[in-house]
Amino acid sequence: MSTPTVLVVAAAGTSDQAVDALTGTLRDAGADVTLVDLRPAHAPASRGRVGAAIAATTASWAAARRVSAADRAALRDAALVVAADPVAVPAVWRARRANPHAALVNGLPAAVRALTGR
Amino acid sequence: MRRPPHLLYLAWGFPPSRAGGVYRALATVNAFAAAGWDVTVVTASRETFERYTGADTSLEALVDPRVEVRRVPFSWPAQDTDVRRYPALRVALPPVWARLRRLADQVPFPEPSYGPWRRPLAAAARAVHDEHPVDLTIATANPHVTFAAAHDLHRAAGVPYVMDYRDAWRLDVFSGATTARDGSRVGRWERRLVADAREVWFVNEPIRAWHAERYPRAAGRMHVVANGWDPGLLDVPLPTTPRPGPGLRLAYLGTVTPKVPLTELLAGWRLALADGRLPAGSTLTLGGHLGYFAVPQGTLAQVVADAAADGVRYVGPVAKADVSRFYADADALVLALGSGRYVSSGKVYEYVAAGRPVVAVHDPRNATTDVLAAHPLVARVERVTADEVARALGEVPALVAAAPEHADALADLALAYRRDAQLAPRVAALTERAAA
Repeated sequence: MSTPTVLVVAAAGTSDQAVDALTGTLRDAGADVTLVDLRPAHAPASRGRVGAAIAATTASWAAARRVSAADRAALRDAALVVAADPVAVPAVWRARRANPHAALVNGLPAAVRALTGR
Repeated sequence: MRRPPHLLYLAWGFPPSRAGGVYRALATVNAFAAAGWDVTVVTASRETFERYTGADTSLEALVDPRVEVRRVPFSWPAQDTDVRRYPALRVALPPVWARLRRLADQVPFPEPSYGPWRRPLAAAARAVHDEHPVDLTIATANPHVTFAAAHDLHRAAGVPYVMDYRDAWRLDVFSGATTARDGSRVGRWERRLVADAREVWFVNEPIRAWHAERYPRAAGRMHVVANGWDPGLLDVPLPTTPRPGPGLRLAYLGTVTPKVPLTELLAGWRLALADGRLPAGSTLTLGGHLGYFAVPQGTLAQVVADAAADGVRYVGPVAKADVSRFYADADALVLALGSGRYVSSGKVYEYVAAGRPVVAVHDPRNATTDVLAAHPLVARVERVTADEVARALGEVPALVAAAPEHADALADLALAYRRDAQLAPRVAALTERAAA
């Protein structure tokens, strides 16, 4: 039986093709995948290491605010919620109260391990 | 009758860890057990590897049954992938949380993430010695906290120790820069550790020479113990499975870290396919973990996923038991490495043993270049750029065609690079000294 899984993508640089491949990997591992796409329309510009860190942090807050009602419903019903990138982590973390039972994981490898038990 | 000498081996990474250095650790303890030593390994718990770095349980069966393994729990909050356990500060301000974590980690020992392991590891080492007196400790890095535990035992009970650095602590092998000043905590620790060590091992001569220059009084105790391929892990000579079509099958096996020039490799791959230097239908299979750790590093997964339409396939980690089959399905291998003259690869020895043409996508000044010097079927890049990678890939069809006539030369070369051949001189010397 497939596992109801939500893949949360939020990094601006993630292409549609990459999202398809990530989704495919989860499906191959036995997931019934719903995509929550929080990618911004435009990538924020940043300079230097500190600038990039600040931009990534604020982008992650903004991504969490973009979660729609439909996204929330999917997150509530999932057995596994996956942050595909670090920017998606706050959105996934916020799902913990609405869904106290789902496994919330950071990264695709952890998701595959959770699905396949290895 | 005299009792056998007792070796205490301190390593963070040990089976079932799937990290690259594990094979060296495995071979070292097995070599000492075969030489008649009682061997006790103190390492991290199984859960450490299952949770943080990935585990390959097939490796545990390869530990000599005479070797006793004791496990010390290890906590690694930075690599925890369970988002539910993340504190609010980590979620809201990840750089601040990471900075505070690093500072706290380095209180017991100046090594982020691993510092807190010093005390439990040293206590476990002392317990082993109290139960069964230890004649020699070998501590292997990284992490370097194992050296501190060996030093603690040396100070408390006079047990001599060997430091198996593999790479380096204060030297960035990629940039060649010194990462910690002589007067820093790391610098002071290293000076003390090297001064008291019976032997200090490195994986290549450039790294040994760098340390010998800084610690001239210890230079005579410094040795190169190169990596090698493990006969128990690879079924040599490897057959080649039939190709399903006209395209060539290229493969890369190893951890894909942010240091691996993946972008240049994939750009070069697209170029070579587009202009016909590689036959249509050729594939590039990437095997191994994406990044060292459980928590994703950068956008590696996305970069690999983007290349799926160009015949690039990521198959994930390959269990050791399946490595021979992975190589058998390849016509040529791609060795993509970070740049730097101190950079060595453990994988290059396996590539040599596999007897396939190699596309060397790395800085020609890498220490790895010496290993491939006698290999007759290598396509080298002069610089790590997309154009150069495409040019090197263009040599692959001719190299694949020429492979059968070089099979004997490659088999001879493989023999020279067996791991047991690299370890044997040090095992013999230390055994002789223990018996004296």
